[in-house]
Parts: sequence; C-alpha cells; structure tokens
Amino acid sequence: MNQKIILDEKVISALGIATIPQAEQEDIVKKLEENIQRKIVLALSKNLNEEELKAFEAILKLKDVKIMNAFISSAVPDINEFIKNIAVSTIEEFKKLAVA
Amino acid sequence: MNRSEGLHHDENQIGEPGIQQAAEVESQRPELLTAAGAKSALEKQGEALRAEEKEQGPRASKVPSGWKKWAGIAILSGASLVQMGCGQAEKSPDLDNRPRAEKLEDKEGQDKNKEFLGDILESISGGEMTIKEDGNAVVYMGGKYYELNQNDLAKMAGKAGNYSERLEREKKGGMKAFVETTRRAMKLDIVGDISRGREIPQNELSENMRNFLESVKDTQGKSSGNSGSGGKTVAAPGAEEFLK
Repeated sequence: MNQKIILDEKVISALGIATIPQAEQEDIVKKLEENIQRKIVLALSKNLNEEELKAFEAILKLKDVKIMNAFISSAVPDINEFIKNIAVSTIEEFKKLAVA
Repeated sequence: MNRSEGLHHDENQIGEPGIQQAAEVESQRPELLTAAGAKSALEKQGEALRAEEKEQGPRASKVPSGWKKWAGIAILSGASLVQMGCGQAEKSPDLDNRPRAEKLEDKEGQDKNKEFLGDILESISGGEMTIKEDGNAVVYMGGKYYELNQNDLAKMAGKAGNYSERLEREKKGGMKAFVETTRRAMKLDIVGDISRGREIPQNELSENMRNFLESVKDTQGKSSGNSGSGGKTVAAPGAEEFLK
C-alpha cells in the first residue's frame, strides 16, 4: 500500500465519510478542496491592498507559479500558516454543517 | 440498587476506568456523515462563498481565475488542502518547493536572460555570476559563494527573462508602483534560488576569494552592497579565480 492511499484513508476517516460510496467520497473531497481554495482567494484579496492586487494580477499573467509564490510570500507574512488555518476552519465548518 | 448490584451479572463488565476510556475514544472518533449531510454542507458552504464573493463587489471581480489556478497549483502540489485541514499533512505546503513552470528559452534567449540574471545578482549582492567550464555557475551573495548547476541556472535565467519582460512592460506603461513590487518579488525570488544552491565551503575557495570575503567582512556596515538598496557594490572574484 503506498503513502498516497494511506493518507487518503486517513483523510476520509477524519472527515467522517468512510461509509459513503467511494465515488461520492471523491466528489466530496474535490468540492471541499474547491471551497478551501475559494476561501483562500477571498482571504488573500482582502489581505492585499489595491496596488498589490493589480500587481498580482499582472504577475498571474506570467503563468509562473514560482513568481506568484514569491509575490504572495512577500505580501502575506507566514503564508503557509495562513493557508493551513483556512483549510482547518473550512473542514471544521463543513463537519458542523453536515451534522446540523 | 447500587452500582455493584447492577453490574455483577455481566462477566464482560468494563468497569469505570474502561467506560471513561471508551467514552474518550468515542468522543475523539469523527462523527460519521451521511452522503446527503455532506452534500448539503458543501452546498451551504458554496452559497456562503458566493454571497461573500458578491459582497466584495468590484473587488471580487479583481479576483481572476488565475488566483484559483495559483491556489490549486501552488498548494496541491505540496500537501493537499483537505489533508492539511484534517491535520493529516505532516507539514504545511512548502511554497518554495513548487514544481517550477519556467519554460526553457532558445539559446539566444537564454544568453540574454543570463545576462539579465547577472544584472539582478549585481544589484542584490554586489557580486557577479561566472559560468565555469563545466557549465555550472559560481555566484557571490551575502558573504558566501554558491554553486548553481546548469539546470537551476537555466531555470533562473528563464525566470529572469520573464521578470525582464514584465518590468519593461511596466516601465513603458508608466506603472511605477508595479515596477517596485515586481522588483521586490524578483529579488526575493532570485535570492531564494541562490541560497538553495550549494554553498562552497571555505576549504574549496582560492586564497583570492578568501581574501575577498575577509575584505567584505571588514567593510560591512560601511556599504549596503548586500541589501540591493542602491549602496556601493563590490566586485567579487569570479569563477576563474575560484578555480585553484
């Protein structure tokens, strides 16, 4: 069994979706990823000022992930923690909403 | 009826510590969700996000699809967001180690880009980049010499080329604020790449280079050559002198 499958199983268990058919599990995880991404983008857009927003839009057109990362990392202190916190809170919110 | 009377017929009784332990395990176990519950939760989250995006109004329109692309590529290639959110990812995504998307330019373009990369290096550290016979480059930065292999060098040169084009467009468009932001990102980016190269240990340096490093140490504080902020720059001995 490879590492990826182990991780996936842990994620499925942590999300509480182990009894749901696999195809639906994949769909749920995919949509969750998308929601986390949207929250990150929203949070980032709030975090950057107008000039930085415009500059980042221009940088995005270069289609160079490394440059994008360098820009974001310079504009948002501790970007990794920033992203991680959003991911954690989105999952928590998802779980609460699912049992409500 | 006291507690012992109530339990004494059950040979499999687990006792109070056992009950407590089981309760703790139960409380830590994630609640099992139904497919309908999960889907409904995702829909509710999606609705809330749409509302928030709408609320941001004109600002939201400044969030192009490229942002989502960035979020997807930059993060997912490291640790999955869901894995992170579930506390399953060992560490948060290392944004510095994303697969690089730089395209390799043709020979002429590469040379031009390397030239620009050399200019960037000079403005950052006052050092110079020299290509050795084996194709690797020796770069002086922040009081140290680094060796970059051909592959990294080509990627950095491609990146420098992209920055160069970008800066040209911004300058032509009179976008001063953008030029500064791009310069800042560029320097951070290049410094990061160099620092991930192999630091050349003292014992591999020629006497010339060791002397140079000593002289830089002596002048530190008098010159801001390493900051890239426009201070006096010092020419570092290049690869020819590096080769003993």
